[in-house]
Amino acid sequence: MSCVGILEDIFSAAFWGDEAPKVPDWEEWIHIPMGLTHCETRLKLDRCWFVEENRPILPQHPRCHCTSVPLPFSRVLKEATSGCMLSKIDPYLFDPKGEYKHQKGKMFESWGYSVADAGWLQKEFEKQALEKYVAGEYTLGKLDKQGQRVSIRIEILRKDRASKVSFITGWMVEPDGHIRLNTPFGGK
Amino acid sequence: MKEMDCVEVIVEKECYAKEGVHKGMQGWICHPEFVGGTWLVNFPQCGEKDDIAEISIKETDLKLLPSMDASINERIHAAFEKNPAGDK
Repeated sequence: MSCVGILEDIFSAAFWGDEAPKVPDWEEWIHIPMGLTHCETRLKLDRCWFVEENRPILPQHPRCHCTSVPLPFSRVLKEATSGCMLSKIDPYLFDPKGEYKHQKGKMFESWGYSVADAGWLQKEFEKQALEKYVAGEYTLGKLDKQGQRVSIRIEILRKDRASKVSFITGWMVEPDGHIRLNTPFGGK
Repeated sequence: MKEMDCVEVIVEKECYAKEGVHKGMQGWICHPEFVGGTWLVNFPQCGEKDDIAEISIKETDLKLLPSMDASINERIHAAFEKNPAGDK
C-alpha cells in the first residue's frame, strides 16, 4: 500500500503556484539497552516512527535511555506501510454470524455498504490511514506493553446519498513505519 | 486464546476499572501479540457509540466466549455510572 496523499498535495501546490503543504518532521524512536532489565513498554517503541511534535513523551521516566533520531521524509514516504486484516471487516465489523453483537454492521448497511464491500473497505482503510499517518494526521492513544496506539479518522462516501461519513479507527504503531489496524470503528 | 476471539472479564480490578472496564464486560482480542501474559482487548458499545476501552488484560482474568454482546457492556457501564461505589 503506497502513500501518495501528501505527495499529491505537494505536486498540486507546485502546479498551481500555491504554498506547499508543510512536510512533517519524522523521528525514529530508539531504545538503548542499559543493564540487564528492560521496560517492556519502551522496548515496544523501539524503531517506531512518529512525527516530532506528535510522539510519546521523551524521556519516558528518570534515567530513561531512549532517544530519537531524525528520519528523512523520503524514507517515510517510501517505506511506511499499513495493514488491515480482512477479518476486522468480515466478520468483526459486519458480524454476519452474530458473533460480536455490536450492531455496527447495521450502521454501515444504512450507509449503503454490505459484507460484499469488505475487501474494498479493507483497502480503503489501509490507503487512508497510511496517507494520514505519513502526513502526521493521527492522535496518540494509549501506550503500554502492547505498544503505542494511534487513532485515525477515516472518511467514506455514503452509497445511499451524496454525502460522506467519518469515524475513528484504532491502529498499533509497529517498527519500521508500519501501522496495523486494531479496530475498524472506535466511535464517531 | 488468539486474535479475534471473544472474551469476558471475570474479575473486578482497580487497574481495569479506571479505564471503565468491569467484571462481566465482554470484548474481543484485537491484536495478535500475547505480551507479558496479557492480550489487547477491545470493549465496544453498540452502533456508533465510542468504544469503552482498548486495554491490556491478563489472560488469567479472561474467559473465552463463543460470542459476545456489546449491550452487556452498556448495561454494566450504565450501572457504574449511576452508582460508582455501589454493589452491581
